[in-house]
Amino acid sequence: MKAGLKKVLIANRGEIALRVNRACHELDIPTVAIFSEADRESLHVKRADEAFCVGPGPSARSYLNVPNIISAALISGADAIHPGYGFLAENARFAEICRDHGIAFIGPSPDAIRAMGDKATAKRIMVEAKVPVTPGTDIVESVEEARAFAKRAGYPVLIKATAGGGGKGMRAVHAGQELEQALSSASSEALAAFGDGRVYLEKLIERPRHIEVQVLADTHGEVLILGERDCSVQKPSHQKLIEEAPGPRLGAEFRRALYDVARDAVKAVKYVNAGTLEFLADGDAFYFMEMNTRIQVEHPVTEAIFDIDLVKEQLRVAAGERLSYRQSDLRACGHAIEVRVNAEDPANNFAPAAGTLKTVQLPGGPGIRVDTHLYEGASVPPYYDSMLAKIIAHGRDRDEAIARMVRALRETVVDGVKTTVPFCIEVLTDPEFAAGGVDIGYLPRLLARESRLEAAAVS
Amino acid sequence: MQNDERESDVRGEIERLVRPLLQTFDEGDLVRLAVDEEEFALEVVRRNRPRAVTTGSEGMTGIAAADLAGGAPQAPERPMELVTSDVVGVFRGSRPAVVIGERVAASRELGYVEALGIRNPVRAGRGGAIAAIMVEEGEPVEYGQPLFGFEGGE
Repeated sequence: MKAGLKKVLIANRGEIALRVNRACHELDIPTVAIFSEADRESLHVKRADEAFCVGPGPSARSYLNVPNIISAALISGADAIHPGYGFLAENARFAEICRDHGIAFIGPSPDAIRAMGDKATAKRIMVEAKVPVTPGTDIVESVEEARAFAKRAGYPVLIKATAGGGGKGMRAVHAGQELEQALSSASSEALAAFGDGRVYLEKLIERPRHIEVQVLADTHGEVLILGERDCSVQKPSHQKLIEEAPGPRLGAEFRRALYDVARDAVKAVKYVNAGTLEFLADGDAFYFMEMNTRIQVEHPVTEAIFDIDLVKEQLRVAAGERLSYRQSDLRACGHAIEVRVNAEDPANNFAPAAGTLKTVQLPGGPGIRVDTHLYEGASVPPYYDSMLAKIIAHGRDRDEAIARMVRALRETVVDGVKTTVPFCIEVLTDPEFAAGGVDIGYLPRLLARESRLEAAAVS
Repeated sequence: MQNDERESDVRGEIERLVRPLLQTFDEGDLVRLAVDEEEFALEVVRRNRPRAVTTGSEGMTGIAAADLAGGAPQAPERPMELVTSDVVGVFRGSRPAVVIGERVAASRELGYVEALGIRNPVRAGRGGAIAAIMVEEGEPVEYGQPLFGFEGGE
């Protein structure tokens, strides 16, 4: 089936630009690439049917240069723009500008992007739709108010500054006798840092898992719930490193409740196109965190287990067509894991690296998919995200998927910059990861353990 | 009234263009200057300076790049200074079109790049003698695309 788009401009770079290019070409839709001066030799430029340089290296002047991007679309006759992820993907104003120029934005409506982009609005909409959110208070005016909430929700609780950020004005409180002191110190810290001492309380989930649900909806009212992904293996900065689907050690009851909630949420937002609802899971409970109104980096694990092409569906939806699946057509099969190969040094707090790639040997074989813009001699410019490649392993079950991934990572050679490959092999062969169901504190604990071991070895 | 106005505009324009050209004549480089008031066109022919023919083709861009790199065997003593587009749009040249060898002032508008209905003027940079014209009328141009080359070091 051919999607009714005439030409698609891909407003992105790297592996996701190639990913979108592939979906377009399979649907026989010509593509237009945009690129910065630093990316002139990049693979996404070579693979597209046309390409426009839209600015110099720094993203603010190229991949975020809205006038030049829209102008490139108009000149080339593109009738749709795929934003990929990052850059302009969740920019409601950009989606509006596309619409105003008669260009289809391949994603949800500007209203949905705006509503989900604002944390307070998103939370309010979800509460109205009876989606569970982390229990919390408004601004607390008195110790009594805080005490009443803590009693209701149960300790531990977290005090957060309303103007907050960077952990300032934040306090974890584990017992009632600590509450008063913690409130006053959090408030004065927030006042000093932000000039606003107002604080609120939230239930503290100590060891949550990051569980997210992939959704896909068309303009004809069809909503697909494409299962969950577990993205609990996160760097200390909360960036995901390893993702998998389905989530290990989740009960049938949990899943049913999660999918029902996801469906309610999609309807409450009148959501169209691909999106992801992120939750914090705590035992049998789960709480809405945020909705990402775009295709995500880790979408291939869902594609692997459902044997579906999410980007092609995005193109169809943007053209006003019906999704090519119904919920009853979808059966998850096996287990899939994705590893992000980043130009980063895990031993040095994941500091990003830039340089020229000398040797590039990518893995293959049964059950392995590699999405990358790498090639030998390619340069890694310092301006952008440090992700070089995504390796996805699909197996009959989780053990086979892990074994395939370890094998694939051992085949992978990227010389010229430090990468996350050796560290990811360590994680995948760690018994705690192998057991499944780690929480988001797992990776920081592993790193701390390693640096302790190293320190011991040195002394 | 309108006609008179236009006529005086044209005369003013020609005056403005011809004066620096006459100056250039004095420097002895130019051999012929034709002024066509009717078509509002100027033709300038320059003596005997070997230079690639400029058609705005890709080939020319290549030569310009080689000039810049300084590696071309017949590279000029000084590299060309390029006027590039800083927007993505469609190039429209000013009338009369400039020609190779013509000396233009820094403020001179050589054309504009139309993007999203806005005319983004292309000016002559530091000015000087035009050494290459690398863009055609109505051609889509991208960011950083060389449009005109000037003799360097003016």
